[in-house]
Amino acid sequence: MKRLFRTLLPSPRITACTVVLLFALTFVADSAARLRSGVCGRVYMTSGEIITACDSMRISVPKKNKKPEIINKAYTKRNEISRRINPSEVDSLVLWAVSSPEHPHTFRFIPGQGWSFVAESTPRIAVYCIAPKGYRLSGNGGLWMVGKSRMFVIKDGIVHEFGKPNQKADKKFRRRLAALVADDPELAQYIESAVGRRDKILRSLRLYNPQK
Amino acid sequence: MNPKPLFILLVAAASSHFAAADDNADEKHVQVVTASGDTIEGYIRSDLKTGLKNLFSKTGSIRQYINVGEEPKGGETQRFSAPEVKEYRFLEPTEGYPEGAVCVSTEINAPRMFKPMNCVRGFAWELDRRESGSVLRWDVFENSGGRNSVSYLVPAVGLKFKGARAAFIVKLNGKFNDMMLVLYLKKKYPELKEAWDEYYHKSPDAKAHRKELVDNPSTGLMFYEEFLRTNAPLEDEASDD
Repeated sequence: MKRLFRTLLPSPRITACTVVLLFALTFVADSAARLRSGVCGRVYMTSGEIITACDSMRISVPKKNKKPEIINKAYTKRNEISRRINPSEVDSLVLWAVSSPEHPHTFRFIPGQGWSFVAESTPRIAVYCIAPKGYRLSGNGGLWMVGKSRMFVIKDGIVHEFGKPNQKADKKFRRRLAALVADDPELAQYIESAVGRRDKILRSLRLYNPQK
Repeated sequence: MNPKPLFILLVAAASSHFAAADDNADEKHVQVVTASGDTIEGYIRSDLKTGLKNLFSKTGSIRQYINVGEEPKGGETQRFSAPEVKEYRFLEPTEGYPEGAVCVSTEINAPRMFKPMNCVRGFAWELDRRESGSVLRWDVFENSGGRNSVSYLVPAVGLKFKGARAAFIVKLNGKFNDMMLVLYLKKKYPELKEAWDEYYHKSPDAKAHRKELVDNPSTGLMFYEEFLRTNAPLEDEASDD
């Protein structure tokens, strides 16, 4: 051990310089606060509380199972996380880019899946799209999925997976989807004959109106 | 060997190809606005000659030509060059483009050796349009450098202020890069250049502002709008606005 120290720090001068350098680096690292990305938004808590973040306050875009962060003094050197929100306490999260408040996007935390974008939502059926690597809001209000994404439908509390949103809607997909909404014959018939991408056909579930 | 099953397979393959083409028809449905103000509705078509013309054009990575047909497949098509078109808009909105993707024909800064302010007209994707200008995206070639240099296409995002001559890069391959924009503003509008430098390079929060621009390039236009509250707008004689 003594030999190791003598090899690394052969003289008291070098030891002192090393200590001063390490101290300086720690100070520099501490003063250069980490710059965090955030967007404007509103968090609707299950308790009824609503947290609005815009201007100097921002919300981090949710990802997978992580806790969204409320960032104070966003996009400044002194930005700091004022609060981390537990996903189980959130009813929904509405986010928008600062340059386009007229295009908000809603996210919900689905247990077993993660933070998912709400494509369509009705009292009986909901269509979600999830991108485990996260989402990106562009300046024109558009929403982009980072990496691979997949769509799923929740009906009566059961999750039904429907693959990638830009995948072609083949016969098997259409048959499965039509069977899911078989109690709405008009919609089921439309789905059976529809062509195009899966996300486009899945969005037609907003018209779901079961016949009793 | 019985040719009937083979014939049926060939017909099935061909018809599935046609079905696939029809499936994508809405995604290629566009409305072209020509330079003369006429509006033409049609479908973007892939054409070998147009592809080759784009590949070997003098403008390099910046697209010069589009091919539009009346039908999604078959029939006659018409080729348009960038000077003949003002913009073409995809009629089907998507999640990424809530109002439909738009591709505009505009002057784009394409620096060359000894000609940093060289501009070419070509097609660029419009990421955002505001009163103060627009955010555009196109591709450029970047060299990997070193001994065995390799060129590869990277995305470039630029700002075209209203009244400016062309779109200038602010974000290259995901990183902040305003060199050409600052050079242009130095000649055409020194006051705006000073304000830009102050906000994005000299102020205590300059690094954070640069990060914000990388995350959302539209904030560059918002900065310009804030500048216009107390200053006159940029007016370049060479602008086509």
